[in-house]
Amino acid sequence: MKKIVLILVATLSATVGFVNAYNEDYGPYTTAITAGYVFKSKQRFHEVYGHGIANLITTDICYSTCHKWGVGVNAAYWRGQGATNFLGQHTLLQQVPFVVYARRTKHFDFGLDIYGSLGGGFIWTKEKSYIGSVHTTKGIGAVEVGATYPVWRFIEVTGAFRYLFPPQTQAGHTVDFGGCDVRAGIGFSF
Amino acid sequence: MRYLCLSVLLLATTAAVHASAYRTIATVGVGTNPNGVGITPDGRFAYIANNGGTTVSVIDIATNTVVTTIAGFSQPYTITMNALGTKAYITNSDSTTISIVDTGSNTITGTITGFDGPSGMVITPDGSTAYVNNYGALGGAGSGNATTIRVVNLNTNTIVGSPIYVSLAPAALAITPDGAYVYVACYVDGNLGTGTVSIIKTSTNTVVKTIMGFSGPFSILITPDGSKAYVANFGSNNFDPCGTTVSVIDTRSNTIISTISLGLQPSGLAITPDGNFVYVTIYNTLYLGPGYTLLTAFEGTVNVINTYNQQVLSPVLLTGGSPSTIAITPDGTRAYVTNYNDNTVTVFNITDQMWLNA
Repeated sequence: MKKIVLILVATLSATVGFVNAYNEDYGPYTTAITAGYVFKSKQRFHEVYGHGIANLITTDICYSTCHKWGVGVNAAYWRGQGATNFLGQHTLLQQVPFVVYARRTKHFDFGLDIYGSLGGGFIWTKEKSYIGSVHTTKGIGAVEVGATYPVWRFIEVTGAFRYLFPPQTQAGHTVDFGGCDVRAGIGFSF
Repeated sequence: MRYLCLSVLLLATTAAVHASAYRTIATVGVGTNPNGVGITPDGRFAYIANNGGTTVSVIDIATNTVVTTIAGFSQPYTITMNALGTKAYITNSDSTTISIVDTGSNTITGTITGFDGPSGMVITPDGSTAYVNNYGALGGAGSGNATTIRVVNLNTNTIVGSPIYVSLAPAALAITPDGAYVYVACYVDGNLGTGTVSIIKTSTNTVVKTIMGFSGPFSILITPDGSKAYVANFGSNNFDPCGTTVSVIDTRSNTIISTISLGLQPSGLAITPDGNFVYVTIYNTLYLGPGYTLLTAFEGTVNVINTYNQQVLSPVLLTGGSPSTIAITPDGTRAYVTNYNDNTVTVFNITDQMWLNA
């Protein structure tokens, strides 16, 4: 958790020097609504849910502090249904990661933007089955790469790959609370 | 057609091996023809009644090894622990007695007399009274020919009152959590549809209802909340009519509300402490005659029933030969199954997990 906070503070501090509101065609704000799938790495997860869970919605807003740099926040709702590993009884998993990040963007003349982000935050997790209900909140780091491409006026298509790290210890076992988040959707600049 | 069905059954059993083998923690050698299992309330020891001999084996649950063998019984059949776990009551099925074992010293400290092939015992929640079913023994009415339940004062260790008459061959019994009723499964003749469950009201020690329509019921349990009773329809030892079902009784209406199809000869029953799942041993041993020699002595299995919807779940646990009885530890993590024809006890890990609850 301390490492994540340090990463977050360092990356945000690095962007402070660039606080000149970036104002291109549609202003400094870029938002995105995306959905996708989150792949998880640990065998214990696979036994219950398979390879991963659905990323039902991710909302993101980034404020560009200059031409290349920005800061933003990102929240998502992940949901999956599985079965207990012995008796096969229904389980429900819900996760909400919330991440604050710093972003570096590269603009291409033909409209494509690609970016990389580094940030940190927390992830709230709740799992429920006949066995009981477990909920926990863990600190988490996030590194992301993505791309946006304008399609009409201020509307963009966007795709991203994000890794939320690290796996952490829960009740004596290593648990991958984050994972590899692959998603796509639309974005808006204003 | 029978060959085809039995072949399919064999294949299904074989397939289940791979799915369930890793659940087996240990196979413990005990005495001859182990049957009844009693686990101490603290979950430290399992007592095994070796029905083919004269002994009771005591298994240390921490190590799954036999730590002592107690002698001096007569075809011990079932084991009932008192609530404190200080005494084990062992029914001597070919005699007229129940032996009392002090679990601290593992010695026989007393005997209750006056039965006829006792084959089951339940204790009221206050610990003062026990109900014992007389299945019948050679020296009495004959095996499977008795028809009575006896009430025992556990303070004096003596039978009190008159016999309570039920149907033929009372094979097992269970008591509701509040101690108000005792349900008695009567095997009768083992034929399909002839078995009964008699309900005794403990305040008057009278039979208040007899439920019909079972098939050689050989064991019974009541859920921890007292809402249902599960009856294993063992049926006959012959192929036809061999039992293949578990009946579910609603204890409010005292009617059969569900009949669940399982493997051949459902025998022992146990329920998890949370009441969510019933484990059923599938005895699966047939006396089919010369033409069926290769199909006798199947390895037995354990099926699991979800008590919420009465569905049989996919896990099938493979045990040894002819699993007769099953008991679950108080923490719900282990199941002990006696394999009657293998002289072993199979120990299963029945812990179920979701992602975060390890």
